[in-house]
Amino acid sequence: MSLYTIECSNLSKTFDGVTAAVYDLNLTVQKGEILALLGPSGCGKTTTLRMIAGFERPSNGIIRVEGNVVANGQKFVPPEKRGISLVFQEHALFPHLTAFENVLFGLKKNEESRKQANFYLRLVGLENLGERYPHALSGGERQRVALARAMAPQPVLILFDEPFSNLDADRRARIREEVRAILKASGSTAIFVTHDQEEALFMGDRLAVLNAGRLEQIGTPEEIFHSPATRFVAEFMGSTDFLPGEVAEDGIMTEIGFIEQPTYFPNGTPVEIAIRFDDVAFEPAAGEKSIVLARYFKGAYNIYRLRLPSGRLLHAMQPHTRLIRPGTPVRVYLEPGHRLTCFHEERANS
Amino acid sequence: MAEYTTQPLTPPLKSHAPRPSWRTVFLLWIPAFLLVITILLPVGYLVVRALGGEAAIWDLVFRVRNLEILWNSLVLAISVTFASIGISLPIAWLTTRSNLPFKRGWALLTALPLVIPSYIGAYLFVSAMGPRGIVQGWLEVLFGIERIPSLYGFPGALYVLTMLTYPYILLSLRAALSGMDPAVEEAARSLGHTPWQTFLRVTLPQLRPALAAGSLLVVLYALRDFGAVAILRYDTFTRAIYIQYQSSLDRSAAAVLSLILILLTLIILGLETRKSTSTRLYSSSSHVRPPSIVPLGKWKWPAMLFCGAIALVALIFPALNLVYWLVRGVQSGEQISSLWRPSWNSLSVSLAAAFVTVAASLPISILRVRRSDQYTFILERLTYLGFALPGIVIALALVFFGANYVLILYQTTPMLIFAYMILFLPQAMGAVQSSLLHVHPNLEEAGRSLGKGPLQVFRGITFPLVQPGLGAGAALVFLTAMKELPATLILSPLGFKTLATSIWGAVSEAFFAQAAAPALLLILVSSVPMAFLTIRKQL
Repeated sequence: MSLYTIECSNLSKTFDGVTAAVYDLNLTVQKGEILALLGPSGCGKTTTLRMIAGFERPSNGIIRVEGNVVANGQKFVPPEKRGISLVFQEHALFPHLTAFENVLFGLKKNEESRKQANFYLRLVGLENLGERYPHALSGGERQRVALARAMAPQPVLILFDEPFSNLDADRRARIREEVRAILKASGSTAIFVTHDQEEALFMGDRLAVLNAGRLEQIGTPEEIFHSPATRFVAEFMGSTDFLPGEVAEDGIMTEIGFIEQPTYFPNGTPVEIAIRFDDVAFEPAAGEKSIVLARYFKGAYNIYRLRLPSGRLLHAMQPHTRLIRPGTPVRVYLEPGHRLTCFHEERANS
Repeated sequence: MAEYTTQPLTPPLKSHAPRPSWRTVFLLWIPAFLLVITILLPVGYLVVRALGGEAAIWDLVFRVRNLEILWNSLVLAISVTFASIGISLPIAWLTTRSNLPFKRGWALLTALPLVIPSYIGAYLFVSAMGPRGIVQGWLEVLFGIERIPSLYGFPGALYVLTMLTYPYILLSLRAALSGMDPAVEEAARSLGHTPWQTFLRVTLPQLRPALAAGSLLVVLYALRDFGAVAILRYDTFTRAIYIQYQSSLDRSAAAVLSLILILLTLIILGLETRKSTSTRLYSSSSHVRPPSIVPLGKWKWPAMLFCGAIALVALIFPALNLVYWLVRGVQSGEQISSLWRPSWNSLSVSLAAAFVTVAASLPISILRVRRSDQYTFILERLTYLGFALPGIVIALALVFFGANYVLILYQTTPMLIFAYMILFLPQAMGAVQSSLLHVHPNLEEAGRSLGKGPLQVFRGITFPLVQPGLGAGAALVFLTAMKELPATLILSPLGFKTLATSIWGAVSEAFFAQAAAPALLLILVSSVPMAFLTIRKQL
């Protein structure tokens, strides 16, 4: 038994022979782990998923399932022999079969299977709707049938291709909690593709961030959020401004002052510092060259948009009780309480 | 033409219209009722005639000969449908889901036989394979064979109708196959099913609605067809009705046969509506990806061979055959100028039919679209009679009715044009209604709120906006009327020859060379533009 349920080594895929949809990807998933594959649309995450499932042949690299090679230069195991289930974006339920028959579809034809199918229908809370056809189910119910159908053959791995993107925000939050609970309770291994960073942070035990076919970073949600490896990851995770500066002795010189924080970059290196909205503070002060441009009331807090002397914009998160009129001159400073990540030529080195 | 006649209406735009004003009553309701009554009268009379014949009705119905005709018709319709499915299913799959080379070319070639009217298809078959046809000629020259086994009757009718109608199923299946969500098949694969098992358990069941829709068109075509069965001398209803009508003085026998055929058609249409309400379940969600393509590997050559063979026998041989007879006709001094008269006749009555039909469809279409309730639904359904009734039956009804009650119109072109209107009203209604549905009622309400009356609004706003739709409806009626044979044959005034009846006349006398020029002209004028429109939409 291999250490990894799934192992991709140097995986590449080009469709036209020129541009790579996926390039030199390395990632592993352990048994019982949920990996969230995150990136903007067109970043190669769905192609990666389809290569693992067996619907695309890798142009290069090796895929192993529980240590056995399922795809490399010579060998290609077809999808039905891989023991990997999929949950599709639009559910892809068989429209001519009932919910129960959908779940039964991947099982052998015997009495035991019917019990098993019922078990999984019960697991997703649909034991009473088994006789319904997909068209008579709500979006959330279809989602759960799709999950039960994928889990019923007890696959080594379940792949999710943006499964919640067709549900409204309210229902989405509820069903992803349910799905995560079900996956964790049954000890399933899963890869979960999404373009929604919040969803990835919620679903994934670990996150892999993809951009333009390349893996930018892989790590726990906290690692990805707090120490992004690249400027892309920092930007993609959201609520971040970038402040240019220059590395000096024991810190970085910026237009809002000197930040005391040693870096590994040599002195004089131009860098960009990732600044989250909650890292920024300001005080009204007459004669300052920075001003408040606008205030956005978000209910529990305010977001202030500040214009620095250079014209650069920074955003600051402030309590909902603190009200400052746009146009007020302010002194802007940083109050991070943690190390700030800075990037030289897009890559972090903190 | 299928997409016009079977087009579903979108949900009602206005469910609770106010009580109709006197204007809508006079301009819409009364014309609509008049139209429906003029359509229903002759058909109703046909029923009366059938029931009031000299012989007792049940004796006529259960005459051994009639049961034989019923059997023949059903066997033919069912065999043609199964043969068409057998041809269409592989081609549809190959041209949508495989990496077959020249897919679009094959798709076009194999769909094109749609343009051949059945009597031309039968003519080309008989002129090639018949007792005085090309094949026999060759055999005589080469081996001295003077007789070949007759292909008249069932085998010929089956072959000709299959080669002409399989494109209906093919187009329907192609649309379904290329519109199917590929994720559904992938789901089956990831659940441990091989490609073949996936096809049987997932793809095929999802094709059922498309198969049913296409098969319905084929069954109706085979049941209503007159030209092919008449030329190939296979006794189905339409041929028997025609022979009865021509030979016998007691016409209630023809009326009884017509009545059975009407019932049969209505039963089939009834089955279809029941089925289509239950197959509505299968509508799949919108999907994001085009279907996945299956590599054929070593099967590529057999697949090409199959598509090529079908294209060859269904399209290329008939076309070459037509050219052959054309050349022979010109060589033997056939006068092309003799085509002027029938061409002019065909054009003028078809054009008149197009205008009359679209105009007649307007009141009911407007009522149906703007006021969707059960009354307008019934009115609309009644005008669909032309879709249910074979041309020969409607022609016969008009002959009976005309000869007894409106002698002025009996054997005149207005009567012929009226028959075309009944037959092709559903096509016009489809086109007119779908264009009306695109005019949002708000536009008309805006016009009314700016101080214009309903007529002014119709002239200034609605009419300009639906004009393209009316044009499309008229074009469709025109093209179909050009090809119509049985009603034209029965209702044409004495000595009035159209392209269709010229072909019929020449083929009945086995003057194959004489039929070639009008056949080619008819195919070119009437079908090619429409075929390209239909097929391009589907490809």
